[in-house]
Amino acid sequence: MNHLLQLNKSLVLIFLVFLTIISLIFFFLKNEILLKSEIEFDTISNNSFDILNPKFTINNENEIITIQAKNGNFLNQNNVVLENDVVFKSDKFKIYSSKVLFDKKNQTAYSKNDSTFVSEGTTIKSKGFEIIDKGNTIQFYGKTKIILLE
Amino acid sequence: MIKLLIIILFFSSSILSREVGQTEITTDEGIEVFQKEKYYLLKKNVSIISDNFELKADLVKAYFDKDLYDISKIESAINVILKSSKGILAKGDKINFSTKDENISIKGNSSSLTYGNIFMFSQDLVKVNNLNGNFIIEGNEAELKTDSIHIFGSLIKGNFVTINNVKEVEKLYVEDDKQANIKTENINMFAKIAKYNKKDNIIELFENVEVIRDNEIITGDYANIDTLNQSYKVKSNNSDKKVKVLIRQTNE
Repeated sequence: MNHLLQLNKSLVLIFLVFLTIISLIFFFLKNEILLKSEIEFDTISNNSFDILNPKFTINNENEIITIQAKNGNFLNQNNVVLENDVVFKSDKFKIYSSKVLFDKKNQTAYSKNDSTFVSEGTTIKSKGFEIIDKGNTIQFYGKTKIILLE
Repeated sequence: MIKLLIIILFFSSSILSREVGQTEITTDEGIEVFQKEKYYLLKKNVSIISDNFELKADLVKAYFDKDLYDISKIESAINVILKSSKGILAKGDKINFSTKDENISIKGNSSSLTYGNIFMFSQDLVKVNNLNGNFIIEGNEAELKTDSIHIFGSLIKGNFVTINNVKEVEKLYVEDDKQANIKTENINMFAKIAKYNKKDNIIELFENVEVIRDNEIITGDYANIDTLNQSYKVKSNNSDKKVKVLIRQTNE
């Protein structure tokens, strides 16, 4: 009876150690991956570009948002860093920025550079932005100033 | 060179600064626009300045109709201060207001609204419609104060009118579980329910009535007070419970 209990305890201990190691590996790898993409997004050279005048679209049920820039660099199959005169354009609004990370697969975009949003009667100046939910939600980051025409 | 620098500085500062007819919004932690749901969230140290009002809060949800510029309703929370160009000053934990029908609702501790000579206060809710003058003050320590009258109760509702640029209460209903209190310059009144109509210049008091004037204390079930000549009648509903008059002695 006692042997059986001891064996169970050892198994549990081994399992816990194994689980901790797996968690730690996952945790460190995850951080590294995130750091890597952040560094790449920031340090990509301005002189070498994968694509010139790239054009993409984000589609949702209400509108099509076209994305244009002068240059683009692929970080991987889905993520593209768009640089120089980046413009997001739909029937309702335009967003201007100098550098944007665009995710083709998830149809999201993220920028931490000064950005200007313009729509009918509205101008928004922010320190960056993010487009999620296929363009239905736009987040503007940092100190933000909005001018509305009545 | 200096002139050129001044010109550049002038134009760069005026590119995105508010002009008449515009609304300027600033935030410290950005804005989240929900296009499908037609609202946007403004976060941290929010300031909205327009021709008609100024609002400061830490969280603001602005609903729009046609596009972002067409704000129809604002819900604001955390250290909210609202000032209108018509002279309203509102403070509270949460302030909601619709820009089109001018409904203002203040919720939470120390909710207050000052409109000219009218002051409203509650620990729960103050609601005012600026177009028709209707108001409700509800909850703990509900209070209404004008130049001529001071009211306490758990529910105060009525409406005000503007006469010669002075806001005056036209109709009033006050109630309290224990005793509402109405103070004028000469009379101090208590009752469970009180009604006032400016047209008749009459204050009616119902249940648990107490009227104090100078050294007189009159108690009963119903009182009718003429605010013009400061005269009053006090009645009792049944014969067992009589109207009492107490006269206090003063040492003069």
